[in-house]
Amino acid sequence: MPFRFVRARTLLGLLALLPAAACKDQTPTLSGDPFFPGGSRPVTLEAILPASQFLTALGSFSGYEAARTFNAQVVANQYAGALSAHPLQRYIIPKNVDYSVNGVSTTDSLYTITSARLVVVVDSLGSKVTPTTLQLFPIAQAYDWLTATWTLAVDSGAVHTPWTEPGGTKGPLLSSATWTPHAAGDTVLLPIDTARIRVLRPDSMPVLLATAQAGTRLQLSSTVLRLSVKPSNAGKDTTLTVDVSPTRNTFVFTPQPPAAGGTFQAGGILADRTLFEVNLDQQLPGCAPADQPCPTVSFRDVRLNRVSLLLRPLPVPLGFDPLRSVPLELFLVQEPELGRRAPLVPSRVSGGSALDSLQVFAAPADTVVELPFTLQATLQTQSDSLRVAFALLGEVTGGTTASLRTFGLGRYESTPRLRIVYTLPTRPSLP
Amino acid sequence: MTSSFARGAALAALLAGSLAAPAGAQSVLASRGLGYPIEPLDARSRGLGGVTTGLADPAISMVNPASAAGTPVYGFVVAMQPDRYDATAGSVSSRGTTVRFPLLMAVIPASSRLVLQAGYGAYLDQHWRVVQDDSIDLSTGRVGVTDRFSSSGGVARFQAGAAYRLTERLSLGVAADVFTGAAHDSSERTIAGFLPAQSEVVYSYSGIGAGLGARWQPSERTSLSAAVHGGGRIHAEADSAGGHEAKDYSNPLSVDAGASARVGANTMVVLSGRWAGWSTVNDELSASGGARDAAAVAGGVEYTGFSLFRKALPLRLGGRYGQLPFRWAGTVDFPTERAVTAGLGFGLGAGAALLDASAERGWRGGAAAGVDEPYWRFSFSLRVLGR
Repeated sequence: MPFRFVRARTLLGLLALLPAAACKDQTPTLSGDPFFPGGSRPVTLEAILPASQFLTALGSFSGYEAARTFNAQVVANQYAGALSAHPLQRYIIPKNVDYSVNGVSTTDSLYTITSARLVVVVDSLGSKVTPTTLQLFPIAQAYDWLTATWTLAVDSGAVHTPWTEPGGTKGPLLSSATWTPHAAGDTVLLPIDTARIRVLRPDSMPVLLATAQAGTRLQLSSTVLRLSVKPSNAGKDTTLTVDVSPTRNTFVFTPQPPAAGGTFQAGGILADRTLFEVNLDQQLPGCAPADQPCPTVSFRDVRLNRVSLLLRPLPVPLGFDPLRSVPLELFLVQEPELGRRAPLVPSRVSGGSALDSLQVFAAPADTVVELPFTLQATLQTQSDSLRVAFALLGEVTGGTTASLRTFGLGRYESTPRLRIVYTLPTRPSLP
Repeated sequence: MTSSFARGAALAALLAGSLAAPAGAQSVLASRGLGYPIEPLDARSRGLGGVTTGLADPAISMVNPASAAGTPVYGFVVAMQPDRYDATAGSVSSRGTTVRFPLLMAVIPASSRLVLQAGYGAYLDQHWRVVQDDSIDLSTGRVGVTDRFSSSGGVARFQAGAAYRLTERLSLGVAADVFTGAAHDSSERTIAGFLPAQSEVVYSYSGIGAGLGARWQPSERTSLSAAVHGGGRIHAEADSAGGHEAKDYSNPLSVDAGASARVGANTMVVLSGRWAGWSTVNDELSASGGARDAAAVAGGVEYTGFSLFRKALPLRLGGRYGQLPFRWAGTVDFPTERAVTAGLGFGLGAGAALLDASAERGWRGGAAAGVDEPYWRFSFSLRVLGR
């Protein structure tokens, strides 16, 4: 190949690389005030609007969940002077135990229970942290776990059978033990006389849990009946441990959770929710407060940094106060006129954002709870209407996170404020 | 072979030029006034100090439309300029690198005396970006913010012209300039934990102007050239969600004059001067520091006695001193620009193409100007002739 031809091709190749060189262009990036031309700095403002300016309450509703669907149990005794609660449980003692010796599986129905204890794990975050004595009683009256209430053992259709003793008719005390916070972890062991266990076999063993001291309230993460058994056909040194999980768990409590009564109420054992409508068609200050008076700008014409509701917590009566953080979340309501049956749509935009519309955990000590919905508000500015209906829920349901509910209620003033942090759009500024 | 090479080179150059349209800035001064003025010069002129006119032989030039007179065949030139700068303003420093294409131009001989030309060149660069960390007070306390402001684009000039060889020694040229281009400004404020706020403004520019040029060769060894551009106004419009604004700026008159002489068998010296009447926009720019008339002188020496691979390898040296028209800040002195240059050229394809390269070390601003900006600028250009 002639040298000139090679040279020509090389040059053509170099020329073709010119755009690639341009792609590596680094825009000059200046830093610091001296490099920032005057007048082009963004201006960020904050407006906090009262409820009367933007809010229409649509109602609070309750009863979407029940005690038996709660994944924990509550035991209380005149907590806050009002609340009492008893978990009702059944333990079915197995008729047989299976074990293997030297690789040979054996089933034994004549085994002997040598010891028994109820292992209770206390959720200290959901409990009043005070030494509390747990008591275990057999239930001395038949009941329907699906319909039992504090006063009725059966409340099904036409059958209404009251408890002889409200809260569950107790038999003689089976066991008791004290939970001492921070002392021995969150596990409480209640030893049970094996003779009592034998009496209860082979039928199920219904029991209820109570606390001895008034003013206590514990949330139990789990309970299990742990048996040590000796098979009849094994060596005398052979002992097995058998864990029996409760079935047909529920708990009964009194009184019923307080009605919203015009407050914003969310969460709790009955999954309360509050529906309301927000009108984002607002006029906002167009300059810093020091520059008053100044022109206003419409909500659609600003760049939204944060739009949120500011909720002021209220004390929750009757012992239903949230001892742990309540997971609050806003859902969209597309047909608010349906009231308690209005279907909900997650308000998270594009799967959520680290900056917006995730669950907010309202801690009991919070004086203000901020619920952001900036992405949804931004979407509303691109639609015809700036009115949007929300449902305030106090639970985490569905999605990728595990379902989370709390026994305690979130209760807030019915006059939340609307916080808008916004940046004024850059105005054309020809030199 | 030579012809196909020329066509291929022209195509590659066109491709490179068209894909690289967004130009980068060459100075932090692009953020001031109407931008940083860019001369649409090739690497040969850059190597000779940045002379704008005055060369004796026919050349493709956007400054002097008479320069193309005498071009025997169609031709094409594309120039590329990578550069790097380190700017200091007060106690704050900034550095950047860019690659831009300041000139893309073609000539077509219509007859033995008339040559037509058309091209696209840079005029005012408004490509820059600024980042600033700060904090603001909200009801929840003080929060950190980061402001980013970027401007991309500027004013470019499309030119169509004709050069006519009136006599063997005198050529005249005329050109029509169409100003075009746009700058996209975007502003973003990022607040920790909040959604960022963005807004944009698009500035578009339009306008027309005219240019005249002449080249006189009193002898075989000397050449004198002059060109003047101006007239009309540059109309600017700004559009954003926040409103619309329009403004007209006087298109400043610019005068270029240059001369060259062969002082030896292989040595040529060239000198040029430029004056641009930017003070006509002083009133319009009074809020941002105003504008002044800007003069510049440049000169260089070209030595053609050196060869490589049996081909002439022109070597060039030059220097330049010029005034810049827009202030860095309202009360400081207007900045100046000083540079020394060197360059070389290399013929390819039996003269069908000329590859020129130059390097420039310069300094802009100074303590009294509020900004100090030493820089390196490199230029590469390819001239393709349809032989």
